[in-house]
Amino acid sequence: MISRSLIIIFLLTSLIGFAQRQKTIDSITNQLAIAKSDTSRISIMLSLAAQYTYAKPDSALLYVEKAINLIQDKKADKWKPTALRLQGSINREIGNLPLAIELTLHSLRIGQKYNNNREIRRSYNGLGNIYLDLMDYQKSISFFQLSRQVPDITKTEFDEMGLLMNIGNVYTDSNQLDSASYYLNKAFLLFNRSGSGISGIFMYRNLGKLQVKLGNQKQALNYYLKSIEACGQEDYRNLAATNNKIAVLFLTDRQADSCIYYAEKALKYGIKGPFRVMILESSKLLAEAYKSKDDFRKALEYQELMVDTKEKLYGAGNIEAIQAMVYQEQKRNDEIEASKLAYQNRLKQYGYLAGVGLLIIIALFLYRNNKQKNKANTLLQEQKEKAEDALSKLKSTQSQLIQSEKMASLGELTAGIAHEIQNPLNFVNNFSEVSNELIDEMREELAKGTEVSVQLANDIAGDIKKNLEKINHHGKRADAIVKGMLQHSRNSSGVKEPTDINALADEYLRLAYHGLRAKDKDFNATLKTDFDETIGKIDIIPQDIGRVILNLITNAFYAVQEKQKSNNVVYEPVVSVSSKRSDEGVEITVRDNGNGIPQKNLDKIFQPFFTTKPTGQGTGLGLSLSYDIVTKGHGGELSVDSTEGEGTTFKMQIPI
Amino acid sequence: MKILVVDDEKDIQSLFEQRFRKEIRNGEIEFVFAFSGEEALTCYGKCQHEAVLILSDINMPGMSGLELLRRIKQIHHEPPPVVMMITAYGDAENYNKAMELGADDFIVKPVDFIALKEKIKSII
Repeated sequence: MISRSLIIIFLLTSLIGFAQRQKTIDSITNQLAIAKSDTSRISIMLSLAAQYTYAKPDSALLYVEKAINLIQDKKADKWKPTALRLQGSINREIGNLPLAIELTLHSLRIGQKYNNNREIRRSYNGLGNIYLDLMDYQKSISFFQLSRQVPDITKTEFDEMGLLMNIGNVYTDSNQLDSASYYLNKAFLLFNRSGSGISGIFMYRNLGKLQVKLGNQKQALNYYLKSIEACGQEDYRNLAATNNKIAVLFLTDRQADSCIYYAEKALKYGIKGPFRVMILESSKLLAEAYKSKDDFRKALEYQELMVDTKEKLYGAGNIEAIQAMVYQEQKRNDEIEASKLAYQNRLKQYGYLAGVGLLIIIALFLYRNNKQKNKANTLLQEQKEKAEDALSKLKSTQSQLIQSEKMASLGELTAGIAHEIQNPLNFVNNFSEVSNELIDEMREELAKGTEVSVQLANDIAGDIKKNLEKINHHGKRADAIVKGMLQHSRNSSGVKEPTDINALADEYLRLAYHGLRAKDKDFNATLKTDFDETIGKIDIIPQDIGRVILNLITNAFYAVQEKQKSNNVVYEPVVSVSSKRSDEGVEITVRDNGNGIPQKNLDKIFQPFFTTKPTGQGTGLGLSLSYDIVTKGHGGELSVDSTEGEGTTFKMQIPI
Repeated sequence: MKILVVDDEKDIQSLFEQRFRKEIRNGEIEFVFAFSGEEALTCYGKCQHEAVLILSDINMPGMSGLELLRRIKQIHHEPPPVVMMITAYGDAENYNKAMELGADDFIVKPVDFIALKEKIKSII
């Protein structure tokens, strides 16, 4: 069944139906007569060649040759790929397969040189067709696929349909029917959308061929008849091709007469070209048909035609020529590859050299960087030492500052402390003096010895005892104050011990108050205390918390004092200290009804060195240190709430 | 003869009662005690006809002794009571202020009770 495989598919883009074709040929011939520019003459000649290919291949060849001469005369090289490809395609039709390959490859090369993607695409398609004629299906398909992959913006849906159809046809011929169905169905979809009447020739013939392979002879015949209808009357090449296919149908069905009828029809059309591939198929069919009818004379006659045609198509000379050409092409490709490789090697070499150069530059850069880095490091080291030195100085300054803050607050207390010690000491002195007098009196009474006098002496003894208790009480009071003062100025032990925080707060409240009073005679304030007696002793660092309380209280006094100074209306300064035990711990609140703290300062009051007091009056460390003591030292909270004009409340919360 | 003693230290009462025990026993002097300026003012309001001498501390929470002095001097009573200020701070400022407000005497702690007794006796 070789004949079936020899069906030829055409370049679809150059297809035009018969009636139209004749009209087109006439119109183009007229254009040629009036064409003035060489370019348009070349273009017209090539169009004519394309139109004549299927009806009068010799005329087509004539026009192509004329066009090529003109191209060479006028050096209109851009037309060369088209002319060569057409020349190849015509030669393929008349059976000059080696020449066809050579011309098409030539077209491809020039197309590639000029980046003419349209011609590259068409040349690949042409090569696919020629290799189909040579029954090299694998190569044929790969050329068609190459053609599909060319990025050509001029490519239309119609072009894609042609390629799909060609691929489907090769699959049919190589009996890969699933693939054939796949590609032909795809092509048929596009055919329904954008196929013209002329492309029906190929579409229907290809579908028919597939149906034959699938065993649907009747369906196949329907398709073939549709194909013939689309051919018109002068497309001899395709009339021959499709009639051959119909003949095949009847040969299979052993209807020799019908087969002969169609095959002879095909042969008649084939000879007009001559379209040798068609002739080969027809003659083969006829030889077989006549043989089956036992008409050996006729059979022999067609057998001889077949052999002759076969020799012309695939004869030893032809095959050698093709082989030589393929070899040449291979060699050319190899050379191109080799030069490409050499080029790539050269590129690699340059790349390598560039790389080495770059490495040297990088090395120099790194060396320079390293040197700079070393310099920078040395500098950095020096700066680090300086910074460390500064830091240690700063630390010692800080501890000095903290100490001076302590001393400053102590200074504020001095007057208060003097007063607070003076008072108990006065009592101690007075009560001891009085007691001394009382003892004298008691002795006098005892000396009298009367009952009344003894009773009196007894009363006096009671008074003396009370006085001694008072002396003891005031002595202890002075003692506590001195101890407290020492504790305040001493460095914090940093050890938590059970402390009566109420007593601590009360003591500092009194000290602070008297301290302020000692300095400012006009100052006065109402002190309010509200201590929660259920607190008992809690574990705190007494020196530290004492300092916090003192700081809060002196601040409160300062606030009310400032308001009192500036206020003309009646103002009663009140400072209150209260304590409260809750589930969370102990809360100490120090409240004043002073001027309050402006919002802009409220955020900064816990910052070190922030003070609103005139220079020399505050270190700006009091609240900052207090904050650290409460939060870091005791895990508590120190918060402030202030309303301008109404007063400020500090809350210290210590967990227990 | 009533003497109003004003001090925030409660033990001052016991001290005065012992220091002047003979005078009290003999009925020469009668003491009335107040432990704040405010209390003293109320007390003076109640017994101003009897009080002839006021002894007041200066440094007291709330109303200070000086304020008390000012207020008492505002109340025009005939004869005006003798007001003696007793203070731990015997500085010039305190003294001047007391004198300005019309204090009759200015005693610096610790109190010399013998001298005080004589002063009181001279007034009576």
